[in-house]
Amino acid sequence: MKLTRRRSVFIAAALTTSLILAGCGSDDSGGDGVDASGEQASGDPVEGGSLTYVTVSEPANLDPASLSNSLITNSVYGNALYGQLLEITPEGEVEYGLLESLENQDNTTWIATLREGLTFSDGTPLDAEALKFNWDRDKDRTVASSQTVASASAIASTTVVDEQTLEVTLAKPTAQLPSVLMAINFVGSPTALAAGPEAFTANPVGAGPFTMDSWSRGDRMVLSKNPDYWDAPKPYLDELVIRANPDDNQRYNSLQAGEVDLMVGNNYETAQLAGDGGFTVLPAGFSGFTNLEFNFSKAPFDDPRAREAISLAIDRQALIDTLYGGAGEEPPTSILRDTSPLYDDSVTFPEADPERAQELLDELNADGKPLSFTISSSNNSDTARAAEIMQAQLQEFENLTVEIEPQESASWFGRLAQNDYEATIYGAAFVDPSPVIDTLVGTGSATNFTRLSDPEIDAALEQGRLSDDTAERQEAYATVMQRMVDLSAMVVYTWSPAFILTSEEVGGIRFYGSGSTPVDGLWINPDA
Amino acid sequence: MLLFAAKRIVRALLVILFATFLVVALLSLAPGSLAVTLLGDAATPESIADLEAQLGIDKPLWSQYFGWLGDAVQGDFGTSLRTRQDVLDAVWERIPVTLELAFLALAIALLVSVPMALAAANRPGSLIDRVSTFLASVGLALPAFVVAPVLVYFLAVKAGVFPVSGWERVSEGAGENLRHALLPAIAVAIPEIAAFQRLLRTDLDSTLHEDFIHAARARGMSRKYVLWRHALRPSSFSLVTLAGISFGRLIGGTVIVEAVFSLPGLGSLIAGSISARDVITVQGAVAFIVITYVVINTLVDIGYGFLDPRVRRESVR
Repeated sequence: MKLTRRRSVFIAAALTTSLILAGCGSDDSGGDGVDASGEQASGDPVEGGSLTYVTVSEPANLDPASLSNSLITNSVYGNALYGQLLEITPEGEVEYGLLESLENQDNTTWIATLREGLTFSDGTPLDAEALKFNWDRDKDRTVASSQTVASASAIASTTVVDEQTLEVTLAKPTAQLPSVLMAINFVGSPTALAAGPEAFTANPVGAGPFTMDSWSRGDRMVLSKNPDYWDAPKPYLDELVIRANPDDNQRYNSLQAGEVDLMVGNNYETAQLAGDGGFTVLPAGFSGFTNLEFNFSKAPFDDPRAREAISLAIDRQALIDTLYGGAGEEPPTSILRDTSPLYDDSVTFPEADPERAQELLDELNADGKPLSFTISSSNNSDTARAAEIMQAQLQEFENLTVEIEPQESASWFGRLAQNDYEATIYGAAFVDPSPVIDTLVGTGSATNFTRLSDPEIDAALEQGRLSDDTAERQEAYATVMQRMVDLSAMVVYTWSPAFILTSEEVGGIRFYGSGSTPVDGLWINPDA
Repeated sequence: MLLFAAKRIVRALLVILFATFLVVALLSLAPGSLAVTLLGDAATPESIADLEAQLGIDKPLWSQYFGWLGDAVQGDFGTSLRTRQDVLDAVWERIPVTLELAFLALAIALLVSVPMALAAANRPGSLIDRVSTFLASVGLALPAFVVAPVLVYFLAVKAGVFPVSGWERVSEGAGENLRHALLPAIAVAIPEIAAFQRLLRTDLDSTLHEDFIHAARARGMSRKYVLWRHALRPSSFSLVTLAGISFGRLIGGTVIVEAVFSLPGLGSLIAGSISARDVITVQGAVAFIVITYVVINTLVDIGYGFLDPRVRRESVR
């Protein structure tokens, strides 16, 4: 769910996919760009049949601790094999899955209660012990992804109260535990996990809607219905086939040719084509953006004038138009989509102001500090192209030199971690801003690569984390936004495209978290 | 003869050792490590060092390499820390796809390029020659990432003759397997056709100016007969060499086409593993490719002997 998780998997998968993935989640804020179009099949679910789902990349392994839970990463694999403990809907509501409830005692102590009689498909009971085993294991860096570790580390300790009940003590109080759990939502059978990671990936065991029949890496995974799934009569499908292809056009070609029934879309142009072509286009419904980020800890961007100059010099609309061939949405006005209950329209990112930008640049030059910097980015195509377009735009200005440096993602990321960059292209994806925004701009976060430290932001982030009152939280994130604008912390230039594209035969599609797609409700009606 | 064989084997082993060592060295020189990959956002100098120690990748390069080599000699290529898969299994799973693709592409390339070259060389400067040479130039200039999507659009999406992407194993039926393999193979073959055509045409042209050809023609043999029976064989040395090298290159070298068609081949395995700094998988796969390459080159050398008895005598020496 958090940015970090996506990141690590991307580096792991690191093929041609979108590095900064996030979502396009609204159905009406699309400006002239891509809107939701068509509808998924309605009516009663049809039982039986086989559905082929094509996603962007396949996971490196099937360990529940290492699968990333967002649309464009591996959510479909995790949701199929392990189901969901709980879901946060795009509207911000919590829906329970394997968990029956999650009660907040005092922001530090929470009570997690599992449904009665759950078992993994190898017969091992899914009880409080099993949940504790998984969450403890999620902190082990040798098996878990960085995002899993980060989220699991929010839990200081757990105590088994009875068979179904686990008392959770947090390291840091929060009222947003469900949001934290999005990244540790998958639990596997402790018996099967004890056999070691190699054996487990060859034969993964969860309590999800499907069990794995075969996995031919690089090709497809075939899964069949778990007859003992807790939420009968789900899953509706008898068989689910998951394929992966990093190329959006190729996935769309397969959809057009009828080889697949449903595809993940991470490109505005394809989504627009598909909408025009009569396919159903469903935005994934979460806030996710890509941004140019400044390094506050070093020259030249330790000078606020330099940050402001670049913030005002970049024409975000022109950038998006070039980047997505006119198919994109309007540039984000905030870090939150206007569909979020926490959105506040009183604070917005500034419009481009080339005159003011040139004034600031001239001022810096007169001070003997003409602005010159390098945008380091990953070599992912959208990101590298965005950097090129920014460079082209900025070349129009005087007293400004911009270099770009696209790098292979692992080395690019290493440089961010080692504070060896001036400006970079980064992003975030979330359905609830806590804890992702905390990690993006909060003091002391390992992934606050801006290295900005602002007491007002920190106080507002804490308010947003501890409160469960919507109005209070809305105000808190408006303060965060205001400070980000005042400090010219980053240039949030686009929402990240994230869609499900499908034919009209498919129904039961829903999203939770960062566009994670459960598969238990999917059904297909070949006669539609 | 024995000494000759022994020399070849020692040389081949040295090549294999050198190539695998070079891969490890290059990967260790590149910034970032598997630990950074696994840690992602949580990568700090301390956490990287910790994890590297836990994974045993903090040891010096030579120690890691010889550790790997010792196991590899005993048939244990290790298990990837990233994919949790036995490397030999991973490579073994991918080989049939890549071999089939390379073999098919090469067959297509030869079947198309040889007649093209013969037709062109038959009457240099003629319309056929110019068209065929022009097509070859176009083919050479067309990268796979352009050819593949165009082929897919017309032959798969529009015409529906071939599937857009994916793979069927031979066990699912040879017909289906071929249907899935043909389009990617054509995409891989096009630049090869172009290279082969140009090479063979040039060689044919120079052969056709040799005395024994004039002699054959003077004895009244037809142009066509001379071309096929007298000129083709001595002109195909370079072609055989190039085809051999191409085959070696195509194993593991079809990354783009594998990505476009989402084929579970060796190229995509290596590409993914390199970007994730999955040294163990890369080493295993490279070792396999090097061995294959060396074996093929040896076979090509022997192949010369069949084409020209002079080589046979020289190589015995």
